[in-house]
Amino acid sequence: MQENDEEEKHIRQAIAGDQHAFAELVNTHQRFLYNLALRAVSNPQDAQDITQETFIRAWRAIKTFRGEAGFRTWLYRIMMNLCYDRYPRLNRERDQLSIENEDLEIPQESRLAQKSEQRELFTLIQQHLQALSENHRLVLSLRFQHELSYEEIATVMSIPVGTVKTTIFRAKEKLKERLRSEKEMEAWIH
Amino acid sequence: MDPLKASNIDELIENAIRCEPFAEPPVDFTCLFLEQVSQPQPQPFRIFSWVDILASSLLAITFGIALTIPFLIPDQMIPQLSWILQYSKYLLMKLVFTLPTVITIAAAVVFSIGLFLLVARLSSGFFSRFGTRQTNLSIFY
Repeated sequence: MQENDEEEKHIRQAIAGDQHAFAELVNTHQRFLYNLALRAVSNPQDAQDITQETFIRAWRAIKTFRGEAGFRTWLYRIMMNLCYDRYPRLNRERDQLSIENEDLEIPQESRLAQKSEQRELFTLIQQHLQALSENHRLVLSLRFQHELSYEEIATVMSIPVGTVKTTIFRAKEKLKERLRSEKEMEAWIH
Repeated sequence: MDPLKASNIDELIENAIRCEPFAEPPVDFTCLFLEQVSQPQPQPFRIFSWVDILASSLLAITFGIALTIPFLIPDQMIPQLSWILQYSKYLLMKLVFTLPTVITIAAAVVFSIGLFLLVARLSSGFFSRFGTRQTNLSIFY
Protein backbone atom coordinates (compact mmCIF):
# COMPACT_ATOMS: atom_id res chain seq x y z
CA MET A 1 0.00 0.00 0.00
CA GLN A 2 2.78 2.37 1.01
CA GLU A 3 4.74 1.28 -2.06
CA ASN A 4 1.76 2.22 -4.26
CA ASP A 5 1.53 5.65 -2.61
CA GLU A 6 5.23 6.14 -3.13
CA GLU A 7 4.92 5.12 -6.78
CA GLU A 8 1.98 7.45 -7.34
CA LYS A 9 3.99 10.30 -5.82
CA HIS A 10 6.92 9.54 -8.13
CA ILE A 11 4.60 9.36 -11.14
CA ARG A 12 3.09 12.77 -10.30
CA GLN A 13 6.57 14.27 -9.87
CA ALA A 14 7.76 12.68 -13.12
CA ILE A 15 4.75 14.11 -14.98
CA ALA A 16 5.77 17.51 -13.59
CA GLY A 17 9.22 16.96 -15.19
CA ASP A 18 11.26 15.52 -12.30
CA GLN A 19 13.89 13.22 -13.87
CA HIS A 20 15.00 11.84 -10.51
CA ALA A 21 11.46 10.81 -9.60
CA PHE A 22 11.28 8.93 -12.90
CA ALA A 23 14.68 7.37 -12.15
CA GLU A 24 13.12 5.96 -8.96
CA LEU A 25 10.41 4.37 -11.09
CA VAL A 26 13.09 2.95 -13.40
CA ASN A 27 14.82 1.48 -10.38
CA THR A 28 11.59 -0.20 -9.22
CA HIS A 29 10.60 -1.70 -12.57
CA GLN A 30 13.90 -2.36 -14.38
CA ARG A 31 14.13 -6.01 -13.26
CA PHE A 32 10.63 -6.85 -14.48
CA LEU A 33 11.07 -5.05 -17.77
CA TYR A 34 14.45 -6.57 -18.50
CA ASN A 35 13.09 -10.07 -17.85
CA LEU A 36 10.09 -9.49 -20.09
CA ALA A 37 12.42 -8.21 -22.83
CA LEU A 38 14.52 -11.36 -22.41
CA ARG A 39 11.37 -13.44 -22.93
CA ALA A 40 10.52 -11.51 -26.07
CA VAL A 41 13.91 -11.43 -27.78
CA SER A 42 16.04 -14.10 -26.02
CA ASN A 43 19.25 -12.15 -26.62
CA PRO A 44 20.60 -10.34 -23.49
CA GLN A 45 22.13 -7.47 -25.49
CA ASP A 46 18.91 -6.84 -27.43
CA ALA A 47 16.90 -7.14 -24.21
CA GLN A 48 19.14 -4.49 -22.63
CA ASP A 49 18.72 -2.13 -25.60
CA ILE A 50 14.95 -2.59 -25.62
CA THR A 51 14.67 -2.02 -21.86
CA GLN A 52 16.72 1.16 -22.10
CA GLU A 53 14.74 2.44 -25.07
CA THR A 54 11.46 1.62 -23.28
CA PHE A 55 12.41 3.82 -20.32
CA ILE A 56 13.38 6.69 -22.62
CA ARG A 57 10.11 6.40 -24.57
CA ALA A 58 8.16 6.19 -21.32
CA TRP A 59 9.89 9.34 -20.03
CA ARG A 60 9.01 11.21 -23.23
CA ALA A 61 5.40 10.02 -23.03
CA ILE A 62 4.92 10.23 -19.25
CA LYS A 63 2.54 13.19 -19.62
CA THR A 64 0.13 10.91 -21.50
CA PHE A 65 -0.02 8.41 -18.61
CA ARG A 66 -3.58 8.61 -17.26
CA GLY A 67 -3.35 5.89 -14.64
CA GLU A 68 -6.14 3.81 -16.23
CA ALA A 69 -3.81 0.79 -16.24
CA GLY A 70 -1.03 0.14 -13.73
CA PHE A 71 2.26 1.90 -14.36
CA ARG A 72 4.07 -1.40 -14.96
CA THR A 73 1.39 -2.52 -17.43
CA TRP A 74 1.84 0.81 -19.22
CA LEU A 75 5.62 0.21 -19.41
CA TYR A 76 5.06 -3.36 -20.64
CA ARG A 77 2.81 -2.01 -23.40
CA ILE A 78 5.46 0.48 -24.52
CA MET A 79 8.03 -2.32 -24.51
CA MET A 80 5.85 -4.68 -26.52
CA ASN A 81 5.07 -1.99 -29.11
CA LEU A 82 8.81 -1.40 -29.40
CA CYS A 83 9.42 -5.14 -29.83
CA TYR A 84 6.71 -5.37 -32.50
CA ASP A 85 8.31 -2.43 -34.33
CA ARG A 86 11.81 -3.86 -34.20
CA TYR A 87 10.96 -7.51 -34.73
CA PRO A 88 8.31 -7.80 -37.48
CA ARG A 89 8.33 -11.60 -37.07
CA LEU A 90 7.01 -11.18 -33.51
CA ASN A 91 4.27 -8.93 -34.85
CA ARG A 92 3.32 -11.43 -37.58
CA GLU A 93 3.16 -14.27 -35.06
CA ARG A 94 1.02 -12.11 -32.77
CA ASP A 95 -1.44 -11.49 -35.62
CA GLN A 96 -1.48 -15.23 -36.28
CA LEU A 97 -2.62 -15.81 -32.67
CA SER A 98 -5.89 -13.96 -33.34
CA ILE A 99 -6.51 -16.01 -36.51
CA GLU A 100 -5.99 -19.27 -34.61
CA ASN A 101 -8.56 -18.17 -32.00
CA GLU A 102 -11.25 -20.85 -31.66
CA ASP A 103 -13.86 -21.73 -29.07
CA LEU A 104 -11.89 -23.87 -26.71
CA GLU A 105 -12.84 -25.16 -23.31
CA ILE A 106 -10.24 -23.60 -21.10
CA PRO A 107 -9.75 -25.26 -17.69
CA GLN A 108 -9.46 -23.17 -14.52
CA GLU A 109 -5.96 -22.33 -13.35
CA SER A 110 -4.93 -23.30 -9.87
CA ARG A 111 -1.98 -22.96 -7.58
CA LEU A 112 -0.25 -25.96 -6.09
CA ALA A 113 1.86 -25.73 -3.01
CA GLN A 114 5.44 -26.14 -4.15
CA LYS A 115 6.93 -29.45 -3.11
CA SER A 116 10.63 -29.96 -2.82
CA GLU A 117 10.58 -33.04 -5.09
CA GLN A 118 9.01 -31.00 -7.85
CA ARG A 119 12.02 -28.75 -8.15
CA GLU A 120 13.84 -30.87 -10.71
CA LEU A 121 10.65 -31.15 -12.73
CA PHE A 122 10.36 -27.36 -12.61
CA THR A 123 13.86 -27.02 -14.02
CA LEU A 124 12.96 -29.40 -16.85
CA ILE A 125 9.78 -27.44 -17.62
CA GLN A 126 11.69 -24.17 -17.57
CA GLN A 127 14.16 -25.58 -20.08
CA HIS A 128 11.34 -26.66 -22.41
CA LEU A 129 9.72 -23.25 -22.06
CA GLN A 130 12.67 -21.78 -23.98
CA ALA A 131 11.75 -23.92 -26.99
CA LEU A 132 8.29 -22.35 -27.35
CA SER A 133 7.64 -19.47 -29.74
CA GLU A 134 8.25 -15.94 -28.40
CA ASN A 135 4.56 -15.07 -28.20
CA HIS A 136 3.69 -18.28 -26.34
CA ARG A 137 6.55 -17.69 -23.91
CA LEU A 138 5.44 -14.09 -23.46
CA VAL A 139 1.82 -14.84 -22.58
CA LEU A 140 2.83 -17.58 -20.14
CA SER A 141 5.40 -15.33 -18.53
CA LEU A 142 3.04 -12.34 -18.31
CA ARG A 143 0.33 -14.51 -16.78
CA PHE A 144 2.26 -16.61 -14.27
CA GLN A 145 5.59 -14.90 -13.69
CA HIS A 146 4.51 -11.25 -13.88
CA GLU A 147 1.02 -12.12 -12.55
CA LEU A 148 -0.96 -9.94 -14.96
CA SER A 149 -4.69 -10.43 -15.45
CA TYR A 150 -6.05 -11.55 -18.84
CA GLU A 151 -7.26 -7.99 -19.47
CA GLU A 152 -3.84 -6.54 -18.68
CA ILE A 153 -2.12 -9.04 -21.00
CA ALA A 154 -4.62 -8.13 -23.72
CA THR A 155 -3.71 -4.45 -23.23
CA VAL A 156 0.03 -5.11 -23.24
CA MET A 157 0.01 -7.34 -26.32
CA SER A 158 -2.79 -5.52 -28.19
CA ILE A 159 -4.85 -8.69 -28.68
CA PRO A 160 -8.41 -9.60 -27.56
CA VAL A 161 -8.93 -11.15 -24.11
CA GLY A 162 -10.30 -14.33 -25.74
CA THR A 163 -7.08 -14.69 -27.74
CA VAL A 164 -5.04 -14.31 -24.54
CA LYS A 165 -6.95 -17.21 -22.94
CA THR A 166 -6.66 -19.49 -25.97
CA THR A 167 -2.98 -18.61 -26.46
CA ILE A 168 -2.21 -19.53 -22.85
CA PHE A 169 -4.12 -22.78 -23.32
CA ARG A 170 -2.31 -23.59 -26.57
CA ALA A 171 1.09 -22.67 -25.12
CA LYS A 172 0.49 -25.03 -22.21
CA GLU A 173 -0.64 -27.76 -24.60
CA LYS A 174 2.53 -27.36 -26.66
CA LEU A 175 4.62 -27.47 -23.52
CA LYS A 176 2.78 -30.60 -22.36
CA GLU A 177 3.40 -32.26 -25.71
CA ARG A 178 7.10 -31.56 -25.41
CA LEU A 179 7.16 -32.80 -21.82
CA ARG A 180 5.34 -36.02 -22.71
CA SER A 181 8.03 -36.79 -25.26
CA GLU A 182 10.69 -36.34 -22.59
CA LYS A 183 11.98 -39.67 -21.24
CA GLU A 184 12.54 -38.27 -17.76
CA MET A 185 8.86 -37.33 -17.61
CA GLU A 186 7.59 -40.75 -18.63
CA ALA A 187 8.38 -42.13 -15.22
CA TRP A 188 6.31 -39.44 -13.52
CA ILE A 189 3.28 -39.23 -15.78
CA HIS A 190 0.58 -41.89 -16.07
CA MET B 1 7.97 -38.91 -6.25
CA ASP B 2 4.46 -40.22 -6.96
CA PRO B 3 3.50 -40.56 -10.60
CA LEU B 4 1.73 -37.45 -11.89
CA LYS B 5 -1.73 -37.44 -13.41
CA ALA B 6 -1.93 -35.71 -16.77
CA SER B 7 -4.28 -33.09 -15.28
CA ASN B 8 -1.62 -32.14 -12.77
CA ILE B 9 0.84 -31.18 -15.47
CA ASP B 10 -1.07 -27.94 -16.00
CA GLU B 11 -0.56 -26.98 -12.38
CA LEU B 12 3.03 -28.09 -12.55
CA ILE B 13 3.69 -25.91 -15.60
CA GLU B 14 2.06 -22.89 -13.97
CA ASN B 15 4.10 -23.33 -10.82
CA ALA B 16 7.30 -23.94 -12.75
CA ILE B 17 6.83 -20.59 -14.52
CA ARG B 18 5.90 -18.85 -11.26
CA CYS B 19 9.03 -20.19 -9.59
CA GLU B 20 11.38 -19.31 -12.42
CA PRO B 21 13.84 -16.80 -10.98
CA PHE B 22 14.15 -13.35 -12.54
CA ALA B 23 17.49 -12.61 -14.18
CA GLU B 24 19.35 -9.65 -12.75
CA PRO B 25 19.71 -6.75 -15.20
CA PRO B 26 23.30 -6.58 -16.51
CA VAL B 27 23.42 -2.80 -16.05
CA ASP B 28 21.74 -0.23 -13.82
CA PHE B 29 19.10 1.27 -16.09
CA THR B 30 18.57 4.10 -13.59
CA CYS B 31 22.07 5.49 -14.27
CA LEU B 32 21.73 4.91 -18.02
CA PHE B 33 18.41 6.74 -18.04
CA LEU B 34 19.77 9.73 -16.10
CA GLU B 35 22.84 9.90 -18.37
CA GLN B 36 20.72 9.78 -21.50
CA VAL B 37 18.15 12.40 -20.48
CA SER B 38 20.78 14.83 -19.22
CA GLN B 39 22.51 14.88 -22.62
CA PRO B 40 21.21 17.58 -25.00
CA GLN B 41 19.30 16.01 -27.86
CA PRO B 42 21.03 16.65 -31.23
CA GLN B 43 18.96 18.76 -33.58
CA PRO B 44 18.04 17.10 -36.86
CA PHE B 45 20.19 18.45 -39.71
CA ARG B 46 18.18 20.76 -41.91
CA ILE B 47 19.63 23.29 -44.33
CA PHE B 48 16.30 24.93 -45.13
CA SER B 49 13.29 25.35 -42.89
CA TRP B 50 9.70 25.36 -44.14
CA VAL B 51 9.67 29.17 -43.71
CA ASP B 52 12.57 29.45 -46.19
CA ILE B 53 10.83 27.19 -48.68
CA LEU B 54 7.59 29.18 -48.40
CA ALA B 55 9.32 32.57 -48.75
CA SER B 56 11.43 31.46 -51.71
CA SER B 57 8.38 29.91 -53.42
CA LEU B 58 6.44 33.18 -53.09
CA LEU B 59 9.42 35.14 -54.42
CA ALA B 60 9.89 32.77 -57.36
CA ILE B 61 6.18 32.90 -58.25
CA THR B 62 6.21 36.74 -58.10
CA PHE B 63 9.27 36.99 -60.37
CA GLY B 64 7.82 34.39 -62.68
CA ILE B 65 4.55 36.28 -63.07
CA ALA B 66 6.39 39.61 -63.53
CA LEU B 67 8.54 38.12 -66.28
CA THR B 68 5.78 36.31 -68.16
CA ILE B 69 3.16 39.11 -68.12
CA PRO B 70 4.72 41.10 -71.08
CA PHE B 71 4.59 37.98 -73.26
CA LEU B 72 0.99 37.19 -72.34
CA ILE B 73 -0.53 40.60 -73.11
CA PRO B 74 -2.29 40.72 -76.55
CA ASP B 75 -0.88 43.27 -79.06
CA GLN B 76 -4.22 45.11 -79.25
CA MET B 77 -4.01 45.98 -75.53
CA ILE B 78 -0.49 47.43 -75.58
CA PRO B 79 -1.46 51.02 -76.72
CA GLN B 80 -4.26 51.11 -74.13
CA LEU B 81 -1.96 49.94 -71.31
CA SER B 82 0.71 52.38 -72.40
CA TRP B 83 -1.81 55.21 -72.20
CA ILE B 84 -2.95 54.04 -68.70
CA LEU B 85 0.66 53.99 -67.49
CA GLN B 86 1.40 57.44 -68.89
CA TYR B 87 -1.76 58.91 -67.38
CA SER B 88 -0.95 57.26 -64.01
CA LYS B 89 2.53 58.75 -64.12
CA TYR B 90 1.06 62.18 -64.87
CA LEU B 91 -1.42 61.89 -61.95
CA LEU B 92 1.30 60.62 -59.61
CA MET B 93 3.62 63.52 -60.41
CA LYS B 94 0.74 65.90 -59.89
CA LEU B 95 -0.27 64.37 -56.54
CA VAL B 96 3.07 63.44 -54.98
CA PHE B 97 3.87 66.88 -53.59
CA THR B 98 0.43 67.58 -52.14
CA LEU B 99 -0.20 67.45 -48.36
CA PRO B 100 -2.68 64.49 -48.37
CA THR B 101 -0.21 62.34 -50.32
CA VAL B 102 2.67 63.10 -47.96
CA ILE B 103 0.43 62.25 -44.97
CA THR B 104 -0.77 59.04 -46.65
CA ILE B 105 2.81 57.91 -47.46
CA ALA B 106 3.95 58.62 -43.88
CA ALA B 107 0.92 56.73 -42.50
CA ALA B 108 1.64 53.81 -44.85
CA VAL B 109 5.27 53.62 -43.68
CA VAL B 110 4.21 53.67 -40.00
CA PHE B 111 1.50 51.05 -40.70
CA SER B 112 4.02 48.79 -42.50
CA ILE B 113 6.50 48.97 -39.62
CA GLY B 114 3.68 48.20 -37.13
CA LEU B 115 2.44 45.29 -39.22
CA PHE B 116 5.97 43.89 -39.51
CA LEU B 117 6.49 44.08 -35.72
CA LEU B 118 3.09 42.44 -35.07
CA VAL B 119 3.80 39.54 -37.45
CA ALA B 120 7.28 39.07 -35.91
CA ARG B 121 5.78 39.01 -32.40
CA LEU B 122 3.02 36.56 -33.36
CA SER B 123 5.36 34.18 -35.20
CA SER B 124 7.82 34.26 -32.30
CA GLY B 125 4.97 33.32 -29.91
CA PHE B 126 3.86 30.56 -32.31
CA PHE B 127 7.34 29.01 -32.53
CA SER B 128 7.95 29.13 -28.77
CA ARG B 129 4.51 27.59 -28.10
CA PHE B 130 4.95 24.69 -30.50
CA GLY B 131 8.56 24.04 -29.53
CA THR B 132 10.04 25.09 -32.86
CA ARG B 133 13.46 26.56 -32.35
CA GLN B 134 14.29 30.05 -33.56
CA THR B 135 17.10 28.51 -35.59
CA ASN B 136 14.40 27.19 -37.91
CA LEU B 137 14.12 30.72 -39.25
CA SER B 138 17.75 30.82 -40.30
CA ILE B 139 18.81 29.60 -43.71
CA PHE B 140 21.90 27.61 -42.67
CA TYR B 141 22.69 26.02 -39.29
